[in-house]
Amino acid sequence: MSTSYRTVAWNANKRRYDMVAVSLVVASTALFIAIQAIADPALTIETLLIRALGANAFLLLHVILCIGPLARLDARFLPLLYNRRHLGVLMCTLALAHGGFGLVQFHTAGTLDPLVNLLAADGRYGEIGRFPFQVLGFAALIVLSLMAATSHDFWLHQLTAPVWKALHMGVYVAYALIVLHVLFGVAAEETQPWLLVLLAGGALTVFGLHAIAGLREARRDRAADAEADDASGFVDVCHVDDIPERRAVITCLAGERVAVFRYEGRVSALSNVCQHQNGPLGEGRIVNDCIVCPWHGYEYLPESGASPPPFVERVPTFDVRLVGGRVHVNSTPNPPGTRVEPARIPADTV
Amino acid sequence: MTLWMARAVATSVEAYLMAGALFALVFLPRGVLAMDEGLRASPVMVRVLLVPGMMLLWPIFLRRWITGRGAPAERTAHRSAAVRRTGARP
Repeated sequence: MSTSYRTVAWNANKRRYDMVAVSLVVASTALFIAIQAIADPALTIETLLIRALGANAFLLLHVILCIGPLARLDARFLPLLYNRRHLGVLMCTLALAHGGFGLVQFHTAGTLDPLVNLLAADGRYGEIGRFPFQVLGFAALIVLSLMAATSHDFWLHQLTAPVWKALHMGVYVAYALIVLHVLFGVAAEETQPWLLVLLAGGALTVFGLHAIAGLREARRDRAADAEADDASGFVDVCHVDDIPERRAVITCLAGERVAVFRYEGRVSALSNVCQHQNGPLGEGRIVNDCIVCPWHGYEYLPESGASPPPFVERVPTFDVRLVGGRVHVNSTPNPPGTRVEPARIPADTV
Repeated sequence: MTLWMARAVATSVEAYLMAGALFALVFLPRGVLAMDEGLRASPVMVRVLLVPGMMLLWPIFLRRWITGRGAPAERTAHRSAAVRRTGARP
């Protein structure tokens, strides 16, 4: 957390993460070039570079797309999630290099503007072998560039997290465009089926992981979705013993998840949605009297849903009461940062 | 795509980006501070990093600059429900 923006919020973990990512990309690119050069010595260095950059950007995109659902399915993948933005920027850099080299290689020989030449390239939309696949790649590049250009926290704040996330869902549009770009551009010329098998395998992996994670989350939300028990608006959420110390139970109220935390003989409830990037507060823990978001470490005081000064983030809070050891949460949220007296756990229940 | 269509698309894209670059040059040194105090104490490199995004999203920020509006309030299900309950701004 910071009251002012930094270029990059470096720490030891991020440096390690980025070093590993860049090293793997460099090694993978070199390996790809070596294999292609041996398999077809007639290929020029420009062609080798264009193919290597494109292939590795595409491979990295698969990794990026799989991190989200994997982190939902198994918390051991969470460390990969928190710096995923850097992977996205790296992938976009590779894609831009691929597109840039391709533009120079194939569209600068004539007198036309290279972009005009690319868009007007001779092609037939009705023929697979002559489909103007480069236009698809160009469209994907626009989407990826928009995402990379808005990856800084400034954009998160200015657009707000829900709008920013919606914008970055464009990665799926980019993925679809790139699949078609590869399908029409390369697969049409390949006589070996291995590329199509790889392409299908990648798409199935991405789609399959998303489907499994999505179904699991939907099942959890259906089980947790609660209606108000009476006119007071309070909902029976769980028994206080179900909540681990300094951790939370997550339920669904008022259309979104709510995190109910237990700490030092008290219970508080607040919106599960972190203001920073809408991470799941309920999957974090209380450290030094603050709820810490598991994604990027944003902190909130459990009684008020407000970040400790001088930080200004706030999330909505919920009224809580204990009835016979059962935790009841009011289904209507209070405005962000509203202090709510925690429910006290009787000594004989602790 | 025919040649005239390609020219029209390419010219539009290039004009849009050039307008964005010009806007970024004018807006980022000072105008942006009225919208986001967090930039005041930030290194200059942060504003350099914002140039590509500003070139792409400049119409949004031009409108906000003209109307004097800052960043909008975040809207989630809970924040909207809290507003309905109390009428308080999120």
